[in-house]
Amino acid sequence: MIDSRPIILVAGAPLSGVTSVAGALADRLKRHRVLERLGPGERPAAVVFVVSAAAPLTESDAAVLDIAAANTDAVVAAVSKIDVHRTWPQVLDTNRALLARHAARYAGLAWVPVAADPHIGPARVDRLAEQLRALLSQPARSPQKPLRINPVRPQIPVRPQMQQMRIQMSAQARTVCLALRTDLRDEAAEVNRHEVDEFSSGVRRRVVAVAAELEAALTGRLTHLTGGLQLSAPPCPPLDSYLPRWCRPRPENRLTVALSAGFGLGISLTVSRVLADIAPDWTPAVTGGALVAGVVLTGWVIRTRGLAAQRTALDRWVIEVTAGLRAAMEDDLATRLSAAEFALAAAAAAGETAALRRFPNPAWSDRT
Amino acid sequence: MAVHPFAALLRAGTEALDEPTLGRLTAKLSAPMRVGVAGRRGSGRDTVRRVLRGAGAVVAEPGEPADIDVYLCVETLTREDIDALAAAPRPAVAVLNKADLSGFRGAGPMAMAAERCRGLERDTGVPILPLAGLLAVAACDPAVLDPPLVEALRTVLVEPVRLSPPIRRRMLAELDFFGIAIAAEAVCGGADHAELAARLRGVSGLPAVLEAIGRAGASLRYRRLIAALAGLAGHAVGRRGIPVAEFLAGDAVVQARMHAATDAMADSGPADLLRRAIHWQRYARGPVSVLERDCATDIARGALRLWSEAGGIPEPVR
Repeated sequence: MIDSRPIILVAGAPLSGVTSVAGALADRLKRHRVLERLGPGERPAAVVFVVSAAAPLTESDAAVLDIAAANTDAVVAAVSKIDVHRTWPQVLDTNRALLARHAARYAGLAWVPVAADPHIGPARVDRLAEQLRALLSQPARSPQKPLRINPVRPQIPVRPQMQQMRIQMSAQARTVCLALRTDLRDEAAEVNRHEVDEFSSGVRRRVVAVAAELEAALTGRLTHLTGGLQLSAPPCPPLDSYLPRWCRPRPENRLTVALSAGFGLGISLTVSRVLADIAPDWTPAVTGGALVAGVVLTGWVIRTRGLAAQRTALDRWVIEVTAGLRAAMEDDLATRLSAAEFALAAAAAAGETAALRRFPNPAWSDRT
Repeated sequence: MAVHPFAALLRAGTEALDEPTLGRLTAKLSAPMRVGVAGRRGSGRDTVRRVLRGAGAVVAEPGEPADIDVYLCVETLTREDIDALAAAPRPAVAVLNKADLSGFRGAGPMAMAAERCRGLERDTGVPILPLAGLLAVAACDPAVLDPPLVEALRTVLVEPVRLSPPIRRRMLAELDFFGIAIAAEAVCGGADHAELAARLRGVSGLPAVLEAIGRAGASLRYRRLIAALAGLAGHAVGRRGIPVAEFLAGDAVVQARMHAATDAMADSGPADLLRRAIHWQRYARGPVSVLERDCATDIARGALRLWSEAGGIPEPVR
């Protein structure tokens, strides 16, 4: 069913309290539809422009009002969050002056203080609701101009760049993961018995650091590409879910002990027989010595084979971990790129692309 | 009195350099790091200037040249804020001011502000730190927490009715809701003046901001050192330049460069000296900026010098 109630558009900068003002107004003005965003072809009967009382408004806030009030003169401005920001009267006066200077049509604008979702004290939205009712009861005040429909701009420059970035970023992830794997395998081949735990936690640290680095690079490039468009990163599965855990190769240990003991005993038996043949007078001493040597040899072989097994397991584990890291990075890249494409398409449909500007990001520019 | 960061270098310089050269070097290395405060109107620039002055920083007044910028935003990053940060000609530390007003639900305003900063950082790639300017002023400026205010803080939890309107207004103006809550809790818990100031300082987020400024200053200090030493190289020529050349190649210079570079990189690498040298040498070969490469090379050189002093013997590489 088509909702034919007149529309009240609540507009403002992100985090200025638009959602709570819209919610409070929707509760109080049941005969109107209160929206934060217009659908295609929709036209507001009145516009509520919300500015936070945290600080005086900026040019970009005023630009939001310009777009929202393009088709109507029925505008009420609200200074929100007055429960928390005690300096709201000064902010309100400054805003009134700033907006009057911004455009002559806003000189007589009604400014109302509101606290729609107060953290301290009661809600204060009734004055705004009354102001709106009074405004809406007057005959329509839409300016005599046709409804502007913003054409959807083709995303010619952005889309190929996006594809290019996908290739570059996945290449970067691949190179970094390969380099990390080579590095870690080299180190795994030289690990001591006592260093195994240290090494495995070190691998985790490095993987997390590399993931953070790639993530930062991706954020930087995305920000650069979208020119400051508000992009909220979609949630991705945690990195831990991609990384296999390190566990010591236990079952192999018993086999190693059995084989090494056989090896050591065999050597000691052979040596003692040979020596007993050469010097029959010394047989007891030779047998004792050969036994001790056999035990020592057994211990040495067990240790060495154990270490070799650990190193092999570490090597396999390192390969799995880097593969997991690569998968995580590729998933992250795909999710964030598709979210960015979606946001860009939405922005283009809303006709905001013209206002977008590119900006270099200080976080990743060369620091020299 | 803080120790001069290049004290050891300047001490070594007194023996090798003549009076005017040493004077120039000292002047270059001792120039203060001026912090400028920028931000949109109403973001609390004056308050933060007062805070930084109280915390011992050299603050550039509006219009004066600065070495590091502290850029203030409120609530969120507007398009103007992002543009200003992107166009910043100097190292800038972005700060979300008025963090104590972020909301009084859940884990409290500072936790909410920290969460918001993380979100903004993830969305825009600009690292931001939360700061409650009023609390930081109260912690840094002894004039704020004077006896009448402390007395009022003691009363506010017990008998708020007894407070006179002027002192109520003053409390609100100097500390605001969150500051009053934190300070009154500390005072009623028996905190003295120093403990109260320390509590406010800790809650305000000032330590992290000062640390970030210090980090931004570290790369600047490293660059100053390199520029000053490069200026000296011109004097290390001919017979009269021998002591200067020896000074430039000496341990004091190498160690000073290593320490400045370590500060600039905010990381010293492995504890073992030889491993540290190898780590930074590898790092310098990687795809890093010129500054990072220089820093890494200096750390590797300093670590090798320390290693050989500690009895390390070079051996051929396999």
